[in-house]
Amino acid sequence: MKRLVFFLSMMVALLTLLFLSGCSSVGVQVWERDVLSKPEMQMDRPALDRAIDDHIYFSKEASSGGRGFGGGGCGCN
Amino acid sequence: MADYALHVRVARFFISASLILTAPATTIQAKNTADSISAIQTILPDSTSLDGKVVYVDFWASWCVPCRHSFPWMQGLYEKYHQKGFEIVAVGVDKDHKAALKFLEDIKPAFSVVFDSTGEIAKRYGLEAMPTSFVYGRDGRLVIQNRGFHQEEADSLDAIIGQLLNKGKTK
Amino acid sequence: MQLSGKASIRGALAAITATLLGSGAVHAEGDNRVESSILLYSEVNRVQAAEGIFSLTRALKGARLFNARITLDGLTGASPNGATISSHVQTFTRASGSGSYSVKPGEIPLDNTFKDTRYSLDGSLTQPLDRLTSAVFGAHLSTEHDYTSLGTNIGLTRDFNRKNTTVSGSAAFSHDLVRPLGGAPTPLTPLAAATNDDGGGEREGVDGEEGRGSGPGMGKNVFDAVLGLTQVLDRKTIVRVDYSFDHTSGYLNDPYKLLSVVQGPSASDPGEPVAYLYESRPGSRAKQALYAEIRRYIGGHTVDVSYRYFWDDWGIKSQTVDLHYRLPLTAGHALEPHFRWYRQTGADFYRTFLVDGSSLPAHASADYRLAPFHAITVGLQYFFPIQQGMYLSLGVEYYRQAGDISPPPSSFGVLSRHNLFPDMDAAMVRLGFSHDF
Repeated sequence: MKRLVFFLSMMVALLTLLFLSGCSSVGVQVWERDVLSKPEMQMDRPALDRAIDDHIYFSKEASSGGRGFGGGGCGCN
Repeated sequence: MADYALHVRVARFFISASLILTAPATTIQAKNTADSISAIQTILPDSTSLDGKVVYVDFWASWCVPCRHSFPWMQGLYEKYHQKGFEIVAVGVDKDHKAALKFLEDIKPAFSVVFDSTGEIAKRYGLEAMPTSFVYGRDGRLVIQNRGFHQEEADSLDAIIGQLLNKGKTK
Repeated sequence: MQLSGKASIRGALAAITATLLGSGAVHAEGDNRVESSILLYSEVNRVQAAEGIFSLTRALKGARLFNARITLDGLTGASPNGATISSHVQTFTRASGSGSYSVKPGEIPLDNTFKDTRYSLDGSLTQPLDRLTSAVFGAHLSTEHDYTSLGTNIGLTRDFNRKNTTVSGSAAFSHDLVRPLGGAPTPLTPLAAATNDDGGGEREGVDGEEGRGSGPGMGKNVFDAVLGLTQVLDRKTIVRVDYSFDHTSGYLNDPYKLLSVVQGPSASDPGEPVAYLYESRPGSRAKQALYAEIRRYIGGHTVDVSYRYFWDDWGIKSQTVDLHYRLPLTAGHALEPHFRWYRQTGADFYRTFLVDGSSLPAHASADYRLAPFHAITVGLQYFFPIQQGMYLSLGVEYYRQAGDISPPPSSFGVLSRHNLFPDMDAAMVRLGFSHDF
């Protein structure tokens, strides 16, 4: 079990490394975020719908969690 | 457990290495473009219209929420200082021209607006944030570059522009 | 919200998750926002619930954001109490100790003796630290008749690569207090036979007033952490990956759930119950999940697919696939069908029933939510804009759970003749409102 956790944390570290350095060219310019600014492209929204989903499935199933927050959008300021 | 310690140390090394690697890398070329007012002058109909003026160059887009706040402020600034030789050039980077026009309709700015739908000008300036603004003195040299728009910073920008305008007058 | 019997323990954890997952940690995009949502939930012959949420986000000086959210839940109805089907009438004492209820032969026993209301309050403050970093602090309080939860959370996000990459981390801690109706029963002890008077089982504490939790409170500590990475792939695509960890310790039993002890295959009436025991779960649980989501804008339509793999130290593993497809219609209206598929294995100590005469395991629970099952949800949501930045939404969904346990290869007698998992059909209606100002 512990080995699995360490292995997975290494994978996450590796992914982070990949995105942060190896793929620093992946993405868009700051002036190309028109589509990403659209409300329907915000992963955190609709926040209440996601909260309700979490409540329902948490109460009726054994699993929970998973989703984080932040990122995307217009990237302004 | 010795394995574990090594894993952690390796992971830590990689993370710090990547953090260093991603330290903002300034493009020398872009810096040169922004340093002088001449770059923006070449795309204006009258390339001498900004000579001897204090100029505020702003990059905006209709989808940029802080831009919706900056425009009324810029309009106020323009009305306050235009007589003293203050100009604003607002470069819009919207790919959707209709959206850009709608944005301007809602705000109706009195200052010059330029369209850069291909993002070429923005690229030459090496923008790192939206909006970004550049303030140039009467000598055409860059005085300040501001990333983003915050009401708190706006007041100090106002003061700087006021000072720059007075500097010219005493010559 | 606790949508199953008196298992209010789980309800509070849901609220913690909600706090962690978004009440205040939205990137400081727009300024102020009011959001509200009402859910009506109804299971066929089982639980009926209603939930209302009201959320206010306000921009403060210095690009800070404050969010306050109020949630109200009410539920009633019947929920499986964990006992198995019998060919005879079964009678169970009520949790409060006063009175009992009966179940017809051939039916999955449902405990229909509760009504519950929960109130919860969440607050959070998002504070930018510099142009690329921001922190969030939050607090949470929730209360039901037999449950109280108090928690706090903290989070940090940082942008890289011209804000194409965002790394986020958060941690939450909460302390929950359960005060079960009739006191917390001793695990794996029998529920006493129903009598006319109090009919109480072996419970700690003194019987309280009707509807009020009694006996000493049973505490529980919950710690949650989430690490996430969001990456813009191109002008129209964004992807995220998250790892989450949860550790709970303390009183994790459901004080209202039972297990049937049934006669063995060679007894006179195989499969028929001889006694009912209160369930027993371990005193701690460590959960982990890996989550990935991708959202893409394709010619005006938006597609969102997510996958979650979950595992814990109770032996449960699960997979969830969630798909949303947004179709814009004229004048800013939109239709969004969605589909969710879910499958879980059972907990190590999950037992559909116990056999009379065999030794008692250390832990056992017949709670269907710890059993192996799969579920699907299909839904359709309609968005209609009222004006710029204001819209209403209406959604309907159907949720179905079907067990993967019955009949267990080891079942016999009456048990082999029935589906022992309480398959469930539920319908949901949601009404939402959002206004940016």
